[in-house]
Amino acid sequence: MTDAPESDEDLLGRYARGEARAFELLYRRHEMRVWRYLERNVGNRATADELMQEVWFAVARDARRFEPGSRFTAWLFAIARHRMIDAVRAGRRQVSLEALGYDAPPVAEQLTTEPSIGPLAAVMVREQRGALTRALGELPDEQRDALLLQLEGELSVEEVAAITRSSFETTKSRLRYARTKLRELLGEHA
Amino acid sequence: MNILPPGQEPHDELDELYRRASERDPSRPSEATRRTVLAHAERLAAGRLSPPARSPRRAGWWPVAFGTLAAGILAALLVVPSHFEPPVPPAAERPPLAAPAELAATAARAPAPAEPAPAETMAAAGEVERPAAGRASVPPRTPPALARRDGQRPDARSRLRPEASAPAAGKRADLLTDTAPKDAYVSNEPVMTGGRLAGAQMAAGAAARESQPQTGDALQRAAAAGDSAALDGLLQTSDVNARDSAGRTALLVAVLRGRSEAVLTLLAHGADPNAADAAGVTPLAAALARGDAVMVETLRRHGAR
Repeated sequence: MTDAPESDEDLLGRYARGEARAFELLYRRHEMRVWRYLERNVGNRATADELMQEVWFAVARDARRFEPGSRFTAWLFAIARHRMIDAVRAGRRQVSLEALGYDAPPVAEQLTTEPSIGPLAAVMVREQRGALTRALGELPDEQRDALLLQLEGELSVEEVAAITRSSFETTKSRLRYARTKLRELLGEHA
Repeated sequence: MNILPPGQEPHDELDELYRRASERDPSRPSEATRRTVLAHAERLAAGRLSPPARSPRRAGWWPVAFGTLAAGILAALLVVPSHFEPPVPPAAERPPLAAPAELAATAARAPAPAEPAPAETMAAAGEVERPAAGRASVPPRTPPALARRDGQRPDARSRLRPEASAPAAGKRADLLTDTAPKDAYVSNEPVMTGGRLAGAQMAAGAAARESQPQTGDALQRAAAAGDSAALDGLLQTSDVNARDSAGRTALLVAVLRGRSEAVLTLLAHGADPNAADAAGVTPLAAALARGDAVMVETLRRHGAR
């Protein structure tokens, strides 16, 4: 019998009591999800990097304010979204070629980072990533935001609705449209 | 049977496609970001293990409460006496106005009469001057009226502006007469001749002058403590580029203390990344001196040179 991994909420509680190691575990567990949510929404790596710091600084600072019984990921992505909207309002969002998927690293670089895949697979990965980024870029902001919250945060419709301050039905419609359109776009780009 | 919780839609091939594409996505946050975040979290955790120190934010309610109380007392002392002043005597019963030359001489030599205790306290604290007991109630505030009031209390100017008493008395005596040119009152001199209105104006001016550096200092204190929540609150009403007595902005203080979060907060509020202190030290120079590459990069992204 193996022990179940410690829950996010327990790790946050340990960190709130002063255990720095618990925060590191939590960070590594959710780092890439938060990163993708931010980067795919703001379309700029430098801004996403800056937002990453802001989001995790806020998590560290407000750990003691986390309400028992809440879900950590819903809280985390609510913070991420709040910070992202602040950045967008401050004009820090920079839609660039990068956002449209034209900045994929060269194949050689991908081979270096992923030596297990061959050149053909690397090209396919690059194409696949470019297609996904382009497709996400074509979604309306509200739909992309809701979809990324669901996909990266693994949040329920209710949680997405609460975070985006929209009604359940509106959120459900947004997600349905976003998924349908993304499927179509990926089919076109494939 | 549907085993998913309410609101959770079943995963389909789109989720799988997205997951696969994401797993192979080489895009990731910089190593510097990871290091900065974890180092910051570690510092906070260490602070939580040590005995709690009073943060500037928590300590901040004392000055606010004290200031509110002081403002209330000041307002009461200014407003209440006007309701208890004796009625204006008929014009015939008023003492005759002194001649300008006499007024000047009186202003130069007369000692300040004893005042009731509250007025002394306020004067000593740099607050406004309380009108003398028994003074006639307030006539319309025309310049000649102010002059007459001063004529009855020649010491008023000397107590408010001691340096202007004897030498300036002769020059200003003409302002105390009804024959003085009206445009003479454009100058601030007559306003300084005493009375509740002038006192209130002076108090307001002094409060405004004093409040500026205090606001700046509060920002610097919050920046030094890395208290972004306090900064957020202060920046609702304060200038993000306010300087302390050493000419340092809150951004520079945050950089000097290595407070990454405060730096980001201040930059997000539009802090000038090139504002140097009195010695010419810029935030970028401070970050370079600290060898903090992430902060250097952050400042450069915001236009630091």
